[in-house]
Amino acid sequence: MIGPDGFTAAILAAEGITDATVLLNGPLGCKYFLGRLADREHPRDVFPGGYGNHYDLCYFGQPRVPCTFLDESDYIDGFREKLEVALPIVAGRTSGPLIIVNSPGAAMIGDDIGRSVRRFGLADRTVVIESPAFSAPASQGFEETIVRIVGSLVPKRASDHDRSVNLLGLSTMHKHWQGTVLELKRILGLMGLEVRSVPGAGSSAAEIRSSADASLNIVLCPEYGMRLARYYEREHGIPFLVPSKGAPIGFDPTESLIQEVASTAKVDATSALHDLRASRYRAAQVLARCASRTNSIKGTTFALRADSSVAFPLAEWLYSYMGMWPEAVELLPRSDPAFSSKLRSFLRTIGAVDALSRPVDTTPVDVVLAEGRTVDWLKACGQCIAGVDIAMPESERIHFVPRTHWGPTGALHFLEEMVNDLVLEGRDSA
Amino acid sequence: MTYNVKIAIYGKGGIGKSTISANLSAALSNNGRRVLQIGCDPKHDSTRMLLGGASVPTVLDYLREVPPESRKLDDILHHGYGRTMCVEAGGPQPGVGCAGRGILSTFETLTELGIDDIELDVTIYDVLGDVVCGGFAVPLRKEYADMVLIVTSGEYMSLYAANNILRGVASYDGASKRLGGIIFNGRGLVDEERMVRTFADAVCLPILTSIPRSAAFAQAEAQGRTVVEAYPSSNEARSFKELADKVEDIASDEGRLYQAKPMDDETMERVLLGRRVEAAAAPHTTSTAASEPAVTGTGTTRRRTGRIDTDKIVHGCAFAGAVAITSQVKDAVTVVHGPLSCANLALYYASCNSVRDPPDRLEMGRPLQRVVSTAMDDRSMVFGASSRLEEVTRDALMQGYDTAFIITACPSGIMGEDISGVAERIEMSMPGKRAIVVPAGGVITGNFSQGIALALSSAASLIDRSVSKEAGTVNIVGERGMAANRDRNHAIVKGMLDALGIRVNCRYISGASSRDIAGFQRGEVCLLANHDPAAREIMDLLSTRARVEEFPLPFPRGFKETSAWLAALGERFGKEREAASLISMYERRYVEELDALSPMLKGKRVILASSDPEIGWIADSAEELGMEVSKVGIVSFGNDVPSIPSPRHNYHMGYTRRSLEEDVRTLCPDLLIVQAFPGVEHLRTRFALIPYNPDVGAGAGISMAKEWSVLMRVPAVEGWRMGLEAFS
Repeated sequence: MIGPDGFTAAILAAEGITDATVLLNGPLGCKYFLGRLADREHPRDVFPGGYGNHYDLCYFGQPRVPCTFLDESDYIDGFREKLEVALPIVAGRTSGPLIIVNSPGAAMIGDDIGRSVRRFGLADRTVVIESPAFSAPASQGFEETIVRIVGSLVPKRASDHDRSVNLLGLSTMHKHWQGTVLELKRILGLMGLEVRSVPGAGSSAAEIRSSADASLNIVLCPEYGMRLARYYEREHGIPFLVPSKGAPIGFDPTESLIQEVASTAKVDATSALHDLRASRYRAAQVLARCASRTNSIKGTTFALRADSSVAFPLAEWLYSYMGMWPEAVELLPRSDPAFSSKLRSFLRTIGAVDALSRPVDTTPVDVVLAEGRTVDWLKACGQCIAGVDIAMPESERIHFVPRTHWGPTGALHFLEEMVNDLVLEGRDSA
Repeated sequence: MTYNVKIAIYGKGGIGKSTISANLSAALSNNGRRVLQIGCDPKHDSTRMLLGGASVPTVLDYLREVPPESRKLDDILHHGYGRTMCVEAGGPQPGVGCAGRGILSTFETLTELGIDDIELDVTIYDVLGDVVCGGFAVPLRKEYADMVLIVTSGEYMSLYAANNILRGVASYDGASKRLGGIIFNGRGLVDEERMVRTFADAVCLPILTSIPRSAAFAQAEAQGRTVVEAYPSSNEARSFKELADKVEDIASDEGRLYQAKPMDDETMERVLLGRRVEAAAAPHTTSTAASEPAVTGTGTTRRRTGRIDTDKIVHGCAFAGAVAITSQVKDAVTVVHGPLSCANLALYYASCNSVRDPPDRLEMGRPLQRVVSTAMDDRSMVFGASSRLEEVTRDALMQGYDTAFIITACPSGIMGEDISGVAERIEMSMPGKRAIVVPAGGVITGNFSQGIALALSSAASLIDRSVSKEAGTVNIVGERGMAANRDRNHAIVKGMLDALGIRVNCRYISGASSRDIAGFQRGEVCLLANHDPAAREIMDLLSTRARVEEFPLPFPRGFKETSAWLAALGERFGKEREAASLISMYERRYVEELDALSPMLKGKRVILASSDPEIGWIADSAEELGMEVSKVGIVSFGNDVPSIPSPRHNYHMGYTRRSLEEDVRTLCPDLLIVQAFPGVEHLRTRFALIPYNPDVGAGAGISMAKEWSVLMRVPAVEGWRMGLEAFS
């Protein structure tokens, strides 16, 4: 499947730190696309009045991902000259961490970026990603980059662990990540826990620097966060928790997360569980009042493509909560082995293990849960009736209100999208 | 001696640096040092004499065969003589891939697998010095080499390589000191020692040791051992013991390191060969940060030290432009020969292409299904990926596509793989299928527009020159592919052509199939969609590939242009009566619509600003509606001064954003009609945008005027912009 790879993920991981700037050491061909993507996933400027224009060196009319505008001659003579033009410009406009990422072409040149960084006195605020994980799964590129950045930002010191947690394994590539961060902060706040940082998903460098004081790391998606969790454990003695049901998508996985966090952090889960019950009640209330239509949902089939930490909770929830049947389940490369195994075991239990061998792109179903681009295509082809965009490459739909598919509120959003699409599109196609 | 001193040993290929390195490692080991030797030569025999003659798996072989999660340092780190440990980087087969990139991958892999956790006293990098490209220069980086030693014989080419290495070090270090000295490895040549000494004096470096030519080396090698191990009492072994001691002394005292002071080529020839040169040359190039030489395999290229010429910046890349074109061809697959990120970018451009008005959801998605990728990763950047390319292209063609366009991204372009050979093999073994190479090389061929031109040129190879003309048919050339109204405009033009009884043979290249392109020459006349430079370039190209007749007028916009276009077309095809009837119908409709719109726009003052000089039809429409056209400004970029097709309106050339701001203040227009530019909204005047690809046909001006009439009735500044100001 063509989609964001480890290189794109490296850029977005760094751009996921609010005050960090990626300097792409590469041509404008890469920059225009990645700059647009970074600005879309994590917009920071209120208005692009500061974009400048197409002749604004390094930025070229985009607020994010300035670049060294390499061309053929730099591939031959080396990129040092352009890099040393770009460094003072970018360093002068920004004050946070500077993450220099080589493009595929620049990675083949071998010029010494560190030398130029030292020459401009930027070594203290710069991380160089010389060989991002080209063509590797996005999760790999994200993990490798975020571990490097956190390692350079978080001081090696005696930690003063308090009643706070870090959320690991969430990235700006996760669908509705901003809404998800808000929702998880809200629900953990009901348990008396402060979220100290979410590295790579909206936290600032200062928040990440203080992350070593957290008393627990919650690994939401191990594909994106396990290496970082181990790093914190090794270097700062912070234990980590991987929720046994995976990412909190759906009511049951969310309840599981709340109870496990409460048990590990020794906090009271009552308020959070009450909040979850209210959402469950709301969902049941709505579903009951449109029973004549939603009855037709029971028994519908779905195809799902995701990392196993997302696929497992989602498949189990849709089966048990909505009475839907998994026809095709495709795991993304580098899925977490533990959740892959749990998913297989669950599918075997219900007699649907064959779903793992059916490709999402060619299996006719009622609902597709996958990248937005795939969902749009399969709906257009008539291969499915409805779909929910759960991953990148996403559809071009614009959202004004921060949404989420995770946590108590996210379950409601998810049901709203899926049920409406299924009922309305189903009616249109009837 | 400090902890883990890192020493890079450079020298010309075949000069004996591996022998020197291995013997030095052995001697240091005999001194009780823990030594790691890393062979950085693709021929991977640097450490063989430390390993009893065994050839060990290289790091790059290992990377190729073992998945990341299964890799362990012990698999590539081998214990050798005494307290030595050995690693061989390896490299791709000659003629493929990128060996320099392989060195980078090796160092990164060693770091990832924890080489830094091993306690060492000395690390020796044995590096090929003929080609000091970025990859082979990695050991020179400050985080790697603390000390650089140069191995040379008295041969001129060996000394030339030694001087090149000094240039590389100077390029890295400027005035700082990292040179340990020269190791003279004798070849038994006449006057050899004098040559080396002269060189050493000229570059101000000491000769640390002189290793005489000796049969002992070959005898030890036959046993798979170093001289130090095989003949410990020999003079040769004693020389290495002395060298090891000196190296340790230098490592203990940074004051014994030297600055790199390479000679320029002319000085080299004068000093070593006694040749006279025309221009006086300084004895040494003085390395400063302001004028450091870059090193190439054949000599010195001065770094470009001038300011960046903004006119020469390459915007976008040829790869993306090429994909935007080839993904439009209906029965062809586009093979992205590059990393997945490039393919993902390609899909973005393909999807821009397919945003249509009115949207056809199925058509929107189709171009995206026609793109596949070779997904080049670190490994294929080292070893090449032509076999993978062949496999991916064959698989795609077997899905039913007639044609494959193979487009190269930056890595495949840099490696210079034989892509044409792959295409030839595929065409020979798959009769009826075409594999067309579009050698964009990412940004190597140029910018987005150049990629478009390259793809159009490459696709023209599909044209069958034996096809005969068919009367009453036209080809359409130069439609703007990424415009939302491309197909709507086509429908308007096709409607007019249908009314005249003229058939469209081929659209080059929007929405065409490769079969349509093959039959291009069937079209009697070529109609240009636009008269911009890009369309002209395509037309010029096609005229070299096929017998074509070009119609002199581009697609018409506004009533006047449409009338002229229809009349000329009617005359060309003998359809004058049909054309006149159509013009008459359009005229009636045009007058009716002018009358309806005029009351809302009459007397309104407008300024037009555009970089496209073909906006006479907009000015015409405004004037016919009774609007007052205060100024028509033509913006020009760089040195490109547009020609003016119609001087009927008073055009102001060289118009700038500042001119516009000034005119807004002084002329107080009711409406700006401009091409999109950042910040137009800050002028706080109503503005209408001139589309990238305006509508065509008699109603084009009217449809714009309808928008103006609405704009005149809504607030000049929308309320939501106030929200932005509250934050800024």
